[in-house]
Amino acid sequence: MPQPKRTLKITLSALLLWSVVGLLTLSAQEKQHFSGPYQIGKYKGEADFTFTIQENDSILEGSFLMQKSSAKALLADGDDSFSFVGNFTKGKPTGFWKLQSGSYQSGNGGQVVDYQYQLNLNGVQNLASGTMIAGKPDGEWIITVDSIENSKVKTNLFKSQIEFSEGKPVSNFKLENENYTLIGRVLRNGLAHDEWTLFANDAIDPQETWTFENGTLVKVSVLNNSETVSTPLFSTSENELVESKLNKPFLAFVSGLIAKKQGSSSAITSVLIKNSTYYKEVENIFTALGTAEFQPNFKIKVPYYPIDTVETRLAASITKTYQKADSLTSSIVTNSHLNIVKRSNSRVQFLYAVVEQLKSTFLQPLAQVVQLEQNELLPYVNRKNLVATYWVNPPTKTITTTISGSTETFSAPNTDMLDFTGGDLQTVANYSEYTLKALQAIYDELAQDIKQGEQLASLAALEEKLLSRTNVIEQVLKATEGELPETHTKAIQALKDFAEKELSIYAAMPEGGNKLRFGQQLEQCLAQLDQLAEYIADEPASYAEVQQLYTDQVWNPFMYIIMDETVKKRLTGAYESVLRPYFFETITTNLDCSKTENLLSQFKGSIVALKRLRKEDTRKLERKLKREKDPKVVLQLFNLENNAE
Amino acid sequence: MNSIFKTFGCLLLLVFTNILTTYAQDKTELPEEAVYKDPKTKVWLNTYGNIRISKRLFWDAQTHFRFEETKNTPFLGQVGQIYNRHAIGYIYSKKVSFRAGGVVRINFNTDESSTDRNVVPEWRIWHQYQFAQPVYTAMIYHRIRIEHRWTQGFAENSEYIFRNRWRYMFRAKIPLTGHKLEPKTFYVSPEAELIMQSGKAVVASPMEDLRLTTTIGYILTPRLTFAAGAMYSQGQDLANGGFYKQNWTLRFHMYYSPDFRKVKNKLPAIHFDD
Repeated sequence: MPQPKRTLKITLSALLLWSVVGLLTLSAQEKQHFSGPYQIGKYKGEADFTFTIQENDSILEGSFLMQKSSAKALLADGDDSFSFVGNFTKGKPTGFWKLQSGSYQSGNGGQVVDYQYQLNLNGVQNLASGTMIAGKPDGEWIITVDSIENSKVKTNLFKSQIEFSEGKPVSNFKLENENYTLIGRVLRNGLAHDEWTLFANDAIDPQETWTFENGTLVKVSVLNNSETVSTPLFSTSENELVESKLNKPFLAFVSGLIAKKQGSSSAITSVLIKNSTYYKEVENIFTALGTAEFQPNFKIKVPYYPIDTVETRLAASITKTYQKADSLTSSIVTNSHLNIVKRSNSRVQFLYAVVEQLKSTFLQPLAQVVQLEQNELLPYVNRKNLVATYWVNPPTKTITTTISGSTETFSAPNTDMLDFTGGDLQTVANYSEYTLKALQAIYDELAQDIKQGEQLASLAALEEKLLSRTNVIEQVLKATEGELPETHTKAIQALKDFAEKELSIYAAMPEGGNKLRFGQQLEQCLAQLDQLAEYIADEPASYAEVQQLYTDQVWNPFMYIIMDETVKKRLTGAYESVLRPYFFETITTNLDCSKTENLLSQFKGSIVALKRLRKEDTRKLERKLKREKDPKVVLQLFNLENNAE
Repeated sequence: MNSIFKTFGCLLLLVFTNILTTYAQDKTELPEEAVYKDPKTKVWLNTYGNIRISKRLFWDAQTHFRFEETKNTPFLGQVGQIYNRHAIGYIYSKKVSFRAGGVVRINFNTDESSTDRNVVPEWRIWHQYQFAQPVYTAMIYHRIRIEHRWTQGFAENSEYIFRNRWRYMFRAKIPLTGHKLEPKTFYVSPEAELIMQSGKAVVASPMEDLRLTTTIGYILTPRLTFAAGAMYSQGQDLANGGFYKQNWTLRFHMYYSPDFRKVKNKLPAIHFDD
């Protein structure tokens, strides 16, 4: 009956389709409300918002509120409170937004007003407010960071006012921190324009001015000792210009260039970086909730030098070589033994000085090139002038050092083919090669000392261990004074004498060579001697346990008394009169590091064997033990022959 | 326990009363004064075996060799009796035991001038009740032993005579080395035993023997002890109660108590009160 079945199938599928479509439309339309604990990054609080569900994603729609403040926490040890208020449309922040966060402590004074207790606050408050359209800032956005004392603004730590139009900054902006105010202009398309000027709050003349021509930063003027020094930065003529965001890595790059040319760091870049940081914080909150782009979005035009694969590979190899050279440097510079040796050894002192020179002449500028490579900023740098840009003077292969009046030179071996005459990426690559070779050569020459330093360090650690190991035996001897049978005390004393004898052999060995190896073996040996000493100290107690085990209680019918009877006397007898004397004899007259491990395991093992044998049928064994005086044979009969020599 | 003591107390009393009446009716010629015969010297080699059979039962196996002095062998003497005493014992508690069994004694004629038989057997049935008591480091023991005895003379066709023997022994064992009786300890053991007898043949001599002994012993192991000592004894002659025999006896004892049971049966041996 296939026909009806099929009809049924079709009907079912149709029904299913209908209901799925129905559900989808229903959910697309239906707003859901959330109210409860919520977390965005470090912010944990109570949220209240509405959302719809689309393809398993919750899309925020409508008003949004999230906040936290705890009076109890505030009174105890301060409260981190925040409140984020705004609107979403289709998951994008839209409309007026106010984001406030702060960390407060309760201040002095307080009063009751209209049945409410008002408390003064101390702390720092961050406040960002402005309008968003479709996830982008639009209109003026103000971000302030204020220091609050007794509920009043004490200092304005930072203030940023930027006018946006659909996410792009327009017209004027103003950034302030405690000391400076930066005023700048941007074109409608977000490109920096005209002059960006930084004023000190307590001076009239501008501290630093960036002059833009059509978005290109052509000149930087810095007030230095009441004199303005201007230096050109990017040229508008020489090359193709591209737009670039003035983001953190780019600002660091610009800052580096300015520092190179001006000899001092740029205050404008630090204000801009700070501003970017605050914008990023707000953006993190927005993107956690929906889709948004919240950046100052200043753009500049910079010369662009397309980079080819050869250069890309060169840059990568410079980075690699630099990293190797850097780690070699630190292993030389941080070796404590070298640091001591250089005081008495002029050659080491010289090489040490060479390393310092290599660091400042090659490694530090190389680090900046590596940074460019890692931040993908190389295309914005004219690689033809790379050396001129990052090296004050082109370095030479000969490193000259002057130590207490006498001058010596160093140059890395086998580096003739490395060409230092150019100024491009290849030359920089040659610099890095040279530096690595130089450091390698120095490391090789110092290797003996470096290794010896390491060895000396391990010897010192080893010697401490050796002494503490020897002390253990001494301590056992003291702790058991007068409490052990003479045989036991004598044996421990013999262990101590032996340990001291071995220690003196070690002490008499010359430094270097086999000393470390001998010491390490001795350490192992002493560890076993310690265990042996401790075991001997415990032996009477362990054997007492065995004796207990081998004692039966017997009722004597003539005395009417219960008496202890030792059973299987041949077993305990073999231990008492053959094995134990043999162990002590070996310890006192015939000890040797190669025997200690064996001895200890046999000594311990014989007690274990006795405990085991108590429960077993040992008639045969007892017969074999009769009159057996050879410890080797007894050990075999006790099944300890595997350890026997 | 008390009731046992009481029962035997009554029994003893009864025996004494009986003996006294018998004595009053005696008409044999008694000497004016009690006559003490010259002391004889004897040597006894005694072995005492105590073989555990079960948790509470044991086999008491004693073999004694008793030597008497003769004219030709003045001190050590020649074998007078070989004495086999056996019984099955019951350990009532760690301090109390009972036993009952039989004795076959082989009596040798030590009279060198006699033409009678050289060897005659003697038969006994015996039961014994022993109580131990710790006193400080020592132990004291009370032993009541009752024997039913059939003896005959060496003369050809002599009749068996039946007597009862009533024995009470007090004994102490005091450790000399160390503070308690344990292996590797010497001890001294003073003992006094009074042996009374009754029966048709016993007319005027109810006190068969009074034995005063002191031995020094050494406990070698819980299962083996050796002891040696000297005993003075005196007692009325059966034929005439006016005559008292005297003996000085050197005694050598070996006490052994092997246990052939399997280990697993042995282990709870001391927990009699389980």
